Amino acid sequence: MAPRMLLGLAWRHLAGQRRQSLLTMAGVALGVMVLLVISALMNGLLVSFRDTIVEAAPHLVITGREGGTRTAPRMLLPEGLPGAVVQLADRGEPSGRTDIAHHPQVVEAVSRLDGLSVVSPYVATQVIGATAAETAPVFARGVTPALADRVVGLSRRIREGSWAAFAADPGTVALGREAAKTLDVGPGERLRLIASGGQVLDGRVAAVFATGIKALDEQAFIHLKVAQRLEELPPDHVTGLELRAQRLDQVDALRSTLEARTGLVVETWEQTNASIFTLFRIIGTITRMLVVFTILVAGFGVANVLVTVVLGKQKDISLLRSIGFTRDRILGLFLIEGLLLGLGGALAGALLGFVACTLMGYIPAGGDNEFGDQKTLVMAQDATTYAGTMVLALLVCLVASVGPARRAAGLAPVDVLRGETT
Amino acid sequence: MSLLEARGVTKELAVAGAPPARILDGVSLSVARGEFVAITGPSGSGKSTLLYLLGGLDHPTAGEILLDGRNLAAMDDEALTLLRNEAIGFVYQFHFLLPEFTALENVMMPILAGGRTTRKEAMARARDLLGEVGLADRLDHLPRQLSGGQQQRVSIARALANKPLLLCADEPTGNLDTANTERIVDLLLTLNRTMNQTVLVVTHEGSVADRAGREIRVVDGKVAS
Ligand SMILES: Nc1ncnc2c1ncn2[C@@H]1O[C@H](COP(=O)(O)OP(=O)(O)OP(=O)(O)O)[C@@H](O)[C@H]1O
Ligand SMILES: [Mg+2]
Repeated sequence: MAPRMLLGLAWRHLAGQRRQSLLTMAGVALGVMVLLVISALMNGLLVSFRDTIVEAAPHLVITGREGGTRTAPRMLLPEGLPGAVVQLADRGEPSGRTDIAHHPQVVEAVSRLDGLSVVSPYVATQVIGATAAETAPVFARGVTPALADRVVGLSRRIREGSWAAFAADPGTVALGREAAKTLDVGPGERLRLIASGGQVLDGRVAAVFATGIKALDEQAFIHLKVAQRLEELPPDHVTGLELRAQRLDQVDALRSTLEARTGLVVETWEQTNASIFTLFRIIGTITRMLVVFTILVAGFGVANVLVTVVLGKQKDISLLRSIGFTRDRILGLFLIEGLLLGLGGALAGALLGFVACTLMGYIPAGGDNEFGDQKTLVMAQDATTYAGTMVLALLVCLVASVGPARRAAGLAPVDVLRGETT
Repeated sequence: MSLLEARGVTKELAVAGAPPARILDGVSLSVARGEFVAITGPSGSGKSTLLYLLGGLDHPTAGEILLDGRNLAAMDDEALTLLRNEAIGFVYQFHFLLPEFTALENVMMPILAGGRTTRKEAMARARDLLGEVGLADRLDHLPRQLSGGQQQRVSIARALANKPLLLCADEPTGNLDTANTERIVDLLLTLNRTMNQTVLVVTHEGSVADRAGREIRVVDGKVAS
């Protein structure tokens, strides 16, 4: 009974200040909407960035330990010698290189683990690329084409030439778009790669790919054996192994298992890109804080309306007190008014936010799109963000109404009556 | 036993830059159930102040006020508020209706605030009361759609809503012309006679005081006999 009556009183008080109430709700709605849109944008950016990485980068990378010490994969050791580290095929150069020796054994052991879909060994090497037109340093990656394709899916990202041509001929190179641009070279044209030790590959460009990940697009892919020759590595040495997991949520568990079993260094895609994800988080937090300030400002609007109502309604408040409204009930009345303003604003803001996010999802995202298909802004909306934002707006409005409500509750009925009657 | 009894009631009000002003000084009086009492006196003598104290709107500085055996002076704000709702009805010179609510809703307000009946019962009671004060055809009018006399009748109906022990009116006709004054006083007298309603009216109109059963005269914060 009482709540319904309070609600009725609150409603009519606000209706009496229609213009100001609506303006205030609009302020709250604007804050809520902007916060929702910014959140959706930030999350969308993160999601699409993650998707790109997850699709085109290995989920896990295994490399050797620093210092050139070759350790046998522990799982290969006989039982009873747990944790023993055996020096294997030390090439005698404490050079800081982190190669994996005997990689076929590691590959075999790793392949036995559940949850992995691809294991692709690679040799990374810094070379000088030379064409008829240009000479520039290039980061080359020696791979087994079939395996590497299953990790990064390059065959689906070919712009010119063909991946099959590259896979078929060890004398060819698959060039990232950026590298191709730098070297000013295209499919079918000659490309010479010169290693630091003087080894040379006189090759030919078979394909140009573009992934959207700059670091990858600046690389040259060559065959594993060719890279080993350029680096003067024995056939069983590789720089590392790139792995793809069947399920993303298993990556962390796989990392621990792999590290324990092999004694090698294992990094997940999230660790590799940790600094970027951290940056995303920081930018997101800063933007959201700015918008939260907007909602706080809207809270001042709510306090303003309520102060107006309290001042204009002193007589009514005294009357309510004289017919039996306790202080607490007057307090409750004005808190309800604040909440009503907040609720109206939050609901309108959520609706506007939803409409804005949906519409913005059709805006073409600038930059280039790899496959010619129309890329649009990714707006990531979720119920939790909506609920959280609305609760925040309600809380702000509630807090903003505490001051005016206390003031109203503190009015002594006789003070106003005296002023009116004598 | 009397319904209302004041013993040595004193009220002082703080005045900036001066010692507190003594508005009422040792007022004692008693009112029996069913009495119609007029409180009269010169302007500024303390009539309104006394009525607010007797009606539980304010606390005295000293003294006791017993309504039906309960000492209002010793009650805290919350208890006093609930008591006002149950047992005391007020009528003011400037009727103080809630402007956003209809006549019917204004009369229902004290009943709903008490929370002792259903909304339906409250509505029926408010309708009856408005009928009694001759406003059966004005139930859904807003205060601004009513004349001054009609508004005052609505506020009398509101004061009676919870069947109060005591009806307090502070110059209820102060704002009305002679005809309307007659009508309001008739209404109060009828309530007093037919329903044995105890009424306290502050007035400085002799015509009103003459029709009351008893007159208490306040001069300089004291009861003059
Ligand atoms: N807030 C206040 N502070 C100090 N003195 C006050 C205050 N309010 C009223 N007074 C004084 O108290 C005295 C009594 O006031 P009260 O309103 O009770 O008189 P009254 O008899 O009702 O007068 P009237 O017939 O004009 O309505 C007056 O002298 C007035 O000046
Ligand atoms: Mg007075």
